[in-house]
Amino acid sequence: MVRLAQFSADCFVSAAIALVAEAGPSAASIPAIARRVGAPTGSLYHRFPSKAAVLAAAWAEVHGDFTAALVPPLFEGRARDAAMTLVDWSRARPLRARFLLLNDFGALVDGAPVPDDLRAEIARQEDVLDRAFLSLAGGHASAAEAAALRFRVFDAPVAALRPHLIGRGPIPEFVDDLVSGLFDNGRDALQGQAA
Amino acid sequence: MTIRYSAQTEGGRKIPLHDGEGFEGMRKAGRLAAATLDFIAPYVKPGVSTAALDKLCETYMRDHGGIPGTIGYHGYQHASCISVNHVVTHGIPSDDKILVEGDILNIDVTPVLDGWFGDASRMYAAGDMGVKARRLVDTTLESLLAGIAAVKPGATLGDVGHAIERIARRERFSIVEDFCGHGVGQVFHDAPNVLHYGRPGEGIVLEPGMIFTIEPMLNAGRPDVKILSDGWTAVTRDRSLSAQFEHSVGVTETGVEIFTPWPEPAALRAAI
Repeated sequence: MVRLAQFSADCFVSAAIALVAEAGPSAASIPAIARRVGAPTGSLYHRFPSKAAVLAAAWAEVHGDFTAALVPPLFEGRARDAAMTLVDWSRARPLRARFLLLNDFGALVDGAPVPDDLRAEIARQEDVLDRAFLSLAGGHASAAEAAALRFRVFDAPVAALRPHLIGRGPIPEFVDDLVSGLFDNGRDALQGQAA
Repeated sequence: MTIRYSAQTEGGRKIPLHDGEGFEGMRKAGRLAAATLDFIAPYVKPGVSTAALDKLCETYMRDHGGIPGTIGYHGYQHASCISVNHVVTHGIPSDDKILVEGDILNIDVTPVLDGWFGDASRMYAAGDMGVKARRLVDTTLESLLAGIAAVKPGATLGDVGHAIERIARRERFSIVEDFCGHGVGQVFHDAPNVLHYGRPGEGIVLEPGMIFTIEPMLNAGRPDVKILSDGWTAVTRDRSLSAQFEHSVGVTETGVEIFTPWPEPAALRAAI
């Protein structure tokens, strides 16, 4: 009697993350994911109905990890720490950082239908992150001020990390200085102005 | 009896390395599996139900000291799997499934004897099969034998899968990737998984003492399969014919031992 291999969903999610991080979304085909795990494709389909589903699960896993790391400093009003946490998180998890910060969810699943539970989980994570950022902004910021803060906490650190993630090399220490420098002149977020 | 384990793991699972006592246990269980498949051959004919064939297999296994290992396995209730025409694997025996002239079918049995699982399957035909069906069946058998020929210490499971794949592709048949062979011994399904496709040199390196099944499934059409609502029956999505052969084998110091010996290929071909 043949076997439908007993691999956990986590095995396939980890393989999908690694494949996307190493060679982009096109590399994470169902056969490639299964081959990386050493499983038959049926074992993968046993747990995920489609390629979009396993990639969405991978996104939920990595984005959830990212959110969990950033939310505490954001809610506590520590903008510089939040930006530095983003750098530290990327340095400690280079595969996950390449997967998350070099890709866009919509492009990753290429517009294919995503199971409702995964879509809901990703939306929940995004809501948590949004609320944490709004908490940091203090509710007093103008649109321009909020955009400036978002730039310093998210966009600029990601831009500083991006060439090193693409190059797959270690993240040099000067990136820390670069990101930390965004908050010099006592401008540790708008909560300083709002307080 | 001592079970050692390979230093290699598969997804965190240990791969057993069986000793001489384990090989002897597999020989006995394997011979019973092969004998059951020989015994049932003359009963495969148009007009017989797959449930009747299953009952005959069960009686034979029990009469010879074996217990059908499939009964109770994840809720499965039959002594065999009987997969007819476009059923790829895990066909459930049924009183309603009556064989007709030209059907091809796989019968898969796993008697447990003295605690060891002998797992084997082979193809049969009800009456005369068509030319394409014959080519599919012959090629599937050839692919299994090619896979077995690749088994030796130092070879890899990728070598085995590649050998199977090469034969199937030569004849433009597709290989089912959804299911695989498996380690076997005192448990039904053990490490390692044995894929029926692969790249030379990749995967687990074979070591003396490893015991597993090789059981390629080839389709006349596309490789895609779906599982029916019973949770077991796997069929080709395009309803093309499918064929499968299976042996349980062990890696020896110098090569491979087949635990589930059939007649020689020529005689087996004549018996199908």
